[in-house]
Parts: sequence; C-alpha cells; structure tokens
Amino acid sequence: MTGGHQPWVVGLFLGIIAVTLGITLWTGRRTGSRAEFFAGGRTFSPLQNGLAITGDYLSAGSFLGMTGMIALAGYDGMLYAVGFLVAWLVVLMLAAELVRNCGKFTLADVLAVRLRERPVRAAAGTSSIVVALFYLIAQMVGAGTLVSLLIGGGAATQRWSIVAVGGLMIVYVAIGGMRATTWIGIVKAVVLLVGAGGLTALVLLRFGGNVGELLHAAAAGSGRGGAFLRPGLEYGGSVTNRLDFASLALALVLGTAGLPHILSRFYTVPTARAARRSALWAIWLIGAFYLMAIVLGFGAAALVGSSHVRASNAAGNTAVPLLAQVLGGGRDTVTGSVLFAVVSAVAFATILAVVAGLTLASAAAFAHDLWAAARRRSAEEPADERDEVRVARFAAIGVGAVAIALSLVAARLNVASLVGLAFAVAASANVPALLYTLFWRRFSTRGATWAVWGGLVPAVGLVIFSPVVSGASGALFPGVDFAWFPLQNPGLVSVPLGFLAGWLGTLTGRRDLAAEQAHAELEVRALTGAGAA
Amino acid sequence: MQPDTMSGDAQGAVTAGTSAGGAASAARSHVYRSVQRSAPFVRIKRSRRQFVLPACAVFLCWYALYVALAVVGGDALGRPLIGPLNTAMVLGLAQFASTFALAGAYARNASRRRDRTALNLRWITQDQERREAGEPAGPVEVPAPVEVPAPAEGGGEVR
Repeated sequence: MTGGHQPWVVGLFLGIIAVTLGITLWTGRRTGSRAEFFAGGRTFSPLQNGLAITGDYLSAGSFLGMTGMIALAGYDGMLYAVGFLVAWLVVLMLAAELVRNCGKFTLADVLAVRLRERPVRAAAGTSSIVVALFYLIAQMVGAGTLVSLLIGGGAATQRWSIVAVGGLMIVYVAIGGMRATTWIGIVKAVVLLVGAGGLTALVLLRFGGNVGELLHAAAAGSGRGGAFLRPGLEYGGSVTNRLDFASLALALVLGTAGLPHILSRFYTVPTARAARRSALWAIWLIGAFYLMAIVLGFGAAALVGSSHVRASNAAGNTAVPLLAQVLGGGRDTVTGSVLFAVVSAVAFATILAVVAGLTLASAAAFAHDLWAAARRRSAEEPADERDEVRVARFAAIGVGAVAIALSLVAARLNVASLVGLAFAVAASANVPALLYTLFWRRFSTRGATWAVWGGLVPAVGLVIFSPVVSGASGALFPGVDFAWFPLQNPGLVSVPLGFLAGWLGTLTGRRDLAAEQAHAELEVRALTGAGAA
Repeated sequence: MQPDTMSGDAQGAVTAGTSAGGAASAARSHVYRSVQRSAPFVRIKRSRRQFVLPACAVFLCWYALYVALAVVGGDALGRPLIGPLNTAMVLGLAQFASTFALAGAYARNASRRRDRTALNLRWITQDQERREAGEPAGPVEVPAPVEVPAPAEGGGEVR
C-alpha cells in the first residue's frame, strides 16, 4: 500500500518514538528502589492510574483487531467487546483492592502472604511470565503487520519492525521502570480516546447522528444483509466453532483478573480505595472506548465496505485506518492522507504502551519472584533491594530478546487469537490460585502449586495440539498436522482444570495449618489494608 | 512530576517476611486473629459478602446467558426490538449498561458502608502489632476486643 500518506506516517511514528523516549529519560532518573522501579513510587492518582490501566488494556487487538472483526463479521466482533468489559467487574469486586492491600509488586506476593514462599513464587512467577510472553507476541506481531502495511516492504519490514518495537520496549522498561511505563500508558490512553472519539464523531456526522441509518448502511456495505447485525457470521455454523466461542468468552471474563501487567497497576496507587477508584475509572474509559469501537467497526463496513477491508488485510486489521482515509476525503487528498497517518500513529502508540507494561510485569515476576525466592536462603533474609532492581533491568532485556525471537517465528499468526490465548492461560493458571488464596481458608501451599501448574500445563499443552500450531492453513506450522484438540482457545477445558487441580491438591494433601492460620492475617490485611506496602 | 512520599517499602517493613517463625510471628498472628474476631471486622466482612456474592452471581449468570444466546440464538436475535436496534444489539448494549451500573453501585456501597471502618481497623491493627512487637516474648495478654471509636473527622477521605 503506497500513497500520499507515507511521509506523514513515517514522521508521526518518529514523533511518537521521540516522545516516549523523552518520557523514559525524564522519569528514569530515579528508579533505584524497588517501590520506584516496580510500582512507580505508589503515588499515582486514581484518574492517572485509571488512564494507565486503559492504556495497558486497550491493545492493538482492540483498536485494530476488534474493529476489523466488526467490519468483516459484524455482530460477532461486538461479542469480544462485551467480554473484555464485563471481565472488569471481576477485577473490581474480587481482585483490585484485595491485591493492593496484600501484595507489593506482583501476583505471587498475595499468595506468599499465607503460603510457603518458594514453591508459590516459582509457580506464579513462571505462569505470569508465560502469560506476558503470549500477550507480547500478539502485540509485536501486530506491530510488524501494521508497519509493513503502512510503509510497504513486506516480510522484511515486518521483521525489522518487530525487532525495533522489541528494542524500544526494553529501553522503556530497563531505564524508566514503572514510572515511565505508567506515563507512556497515560499519554497513549489520552491519544487513543481522543483519536477514537474524533473518528466516531465524524462517522456519526456522516449519518446525521442516525444510528439506524449507520446500521442499515453497514449491513448493506458488508454484503451480508441482516445477518451482519446478529451473531453467527464468525462463530456460527459447526458445533466446534460455537464451543470455541464459549471457550473464548470464559477466558475473557476470568482472564483479566489474572493478567500480571493489570494486577501490578494497582500497586502504583497509595491505597486500596485508590485502587478501587482507578478500576472504576478504567471501566468508564474502557467501556466508552468499546462503544466507540463498535461505531467505528460498523462505520468501516458502511463507508469502506467489507470486501475492500478484506482486500487490504484478510483479518481486517486495517479497517480503521482505511475508514479514516475515507472520512478525510479519500486516499488522494491531503486530509485523507493525514487522517490515515494520524490513526496509524495512534495504533502504533497503542502497541508501544502495551508492550512496555507487559515487559515490566514479566521483569518484575522474574526478579521479585523467581530470582529473589531462589536466592533467598531463609525467609528472614530478604534479597537486597538494589540487586533485585538490577536483575529486573537485565530481565527486561532477556524477556525482550525472547519475545522478539518468538514473534519472528509466530509472525504469521492471527493477533486476536493470540490475545485470546494469553487470557486463557491467565484464567487457568493465575486466577484459580488467586481466588482460592483470598477466599478459601483450607487452601494449602500444595493446592496453590497444583492450581498454577495444573492450569498452566494443560492451557499451554492444548494450544500446542490445537489448530493454532498445526494442521490448519493459518497455523504456525501449516505443513504438519499433530493437532488433536479441536478448539483454538483452550479455556473451556483448562480453566476448570486449574480450579479442579487446586481443589484436589488441597484436599489430597495434609492440612496446612500454617496456611490456615495465616488466612486470618490475609483476610484482615485484605479488607482493612493493615500493614499494606 | 509526582510528589515524593514515604517509600512504600519502608512502610511495609513492619509485616515483611510473612512466614517468619518465632515469638514475633506468634504475637503477630495473635493480633490478626483477635482483629478478625472483632465485631467491626465481622461487620465489614459480612457487608462486603452481602454485596459481592449476589452481584457476582447476577452478572456472571447474565453474561453466561448472553453468550449462550449468541451461540444458539440464531435468527431470532435479528428481530427488530427498539427503533433501529434488533434484539442482539439491545442485549449487547444492555451488557454495557449493566456493567457500568454494577461497577458504580459497588463503589458507592464500599465507600459508604465499609471504607471508614476499614481504615480505623487498619490503624488499630497496626498499632497493636507495633505494641506486641515491642514487648518481650512470653505469655501475651489477650488484647481487648477491638472497638472502633466514633469517627473523629468527617468525610473519611483518605489519600
């Protein structure tokens, strides 16, 4: 795809890189202590943190993937939006305040309040890194696709943009820590919400504010008629297809509460009350964004046309940039080119903010959970703070390198399904252990390790034997076929397995009296904030 | 630029090393158990459960129903329901509306019913913990049941 937009796109992308690097250098001057590096000093306000959560949560999968799916499959794309939003009620009511009160930097902190530290940190730290890696691959593959579509050059551009995005995220995290990551998230959220708001207003103006007319035009532009406005185009048909959707729905609604980069956001505010208010802000902002994204998806179907969207990118990932071009007056006009470039730049900023949050979360899980617990001889001898931060900086480089390598291999996978996998692993491995720890007195260390490994191994294992990896045309290895698990998303099987494993591991083991006694401490701390970091 | 406040680590040092053995740990777990049994704590725990359990049951069932309808509902969802919107659209938008409403209701419930008591309990717990830690090991007196003093200042806003 070439045209008048190219110089605008390159210029704006460079501008975004300059701004984010500026933020990193500006905030990176004081990141020596753990509370600074992992939690940004814990002094952000609820609104700031709500924006940063919005920035971490709304990925390229939402801005490009979901809108594209609505433009191609109509109503079925909207199902994603509902799942992504409803999941926040789980976070708000069952996780945000309690995690803020009990933990310091990571998910494993909460488990370690009442369970034996080393095994639960090893388990929860590993699963957090796996979740972050799945999510990172999705974002980086998305970045590669986006850049190569915008400036041309095909596979080579895609590879180099994956490497460049990976390099940038390493710099943000290793130098700027949580403070830089949070400010990049805030800036990105504002840019994304303003950009989406402006485009939505333009779409609605086109139809004179008449939603009925927009839907009518979308159904016509899709070439599918009335079927476009009801479920079934993407997830209808075979039983496998429908089960796949149910699996995804389960993973989405539970998985958010187990995403390490979302949970660690609650440590950046001073109190549980502030954590609750930031989750509330996030719900308003994310909900508003998804409502706008639905308008944009239907707008793209109506004004660009589904067949045109599909011709540009089979998965629909360029629907919104194309919509902006049409709204600006077409690809040969200056306004069309500028709008196209601005929207592409917003998408690029979106990706950069999300990968920074994910890299930081996995660096924290490595340094604070795996490294510190492995090195710690006794619980009374905490690891040196400075050492832990130094290890985290190197871990960011290591995680970044692994993510780049995996993304280069996975470059041909569908972005939206990769994000679904990250949610499924989080819902299977992290969420059962977290909920049992908080609400089940009898839950033991053995139960926690069973819950995490018993969710993580099936989730990842089923993905390996699913059509995502082999046996289908869009698979990672389309040439071979060792797929026997029919669903793309393992959630329907692996989430119940995670809960079951935690339950069995607890009941088949000896009673963990220390863990049961410590539940009193956990409960008091969780509900009152006593002794909170 | 954010104002610099006390390092979170320093604040949390009191309770670091949670699985520590010995008398200090026994004294601490004693404090937590007595707070857990105190009337105000039982009250906030019950109040929280009374809201969260039914609320989660309602929204999870409502979401499951929505997913089930989307999977098996088929053509019936295409019927026009309100103005230009068909049944499927109305159901989807209703999910948005119920999420906003429930989130707002939870936040209001928590800040009106529990925040102030929880904060008082936090100071009381930390106070007792500090006192117990300062005492030499030995038979520890059972602390008096925690009673929350009447709120001294209005608002209860904590920053």
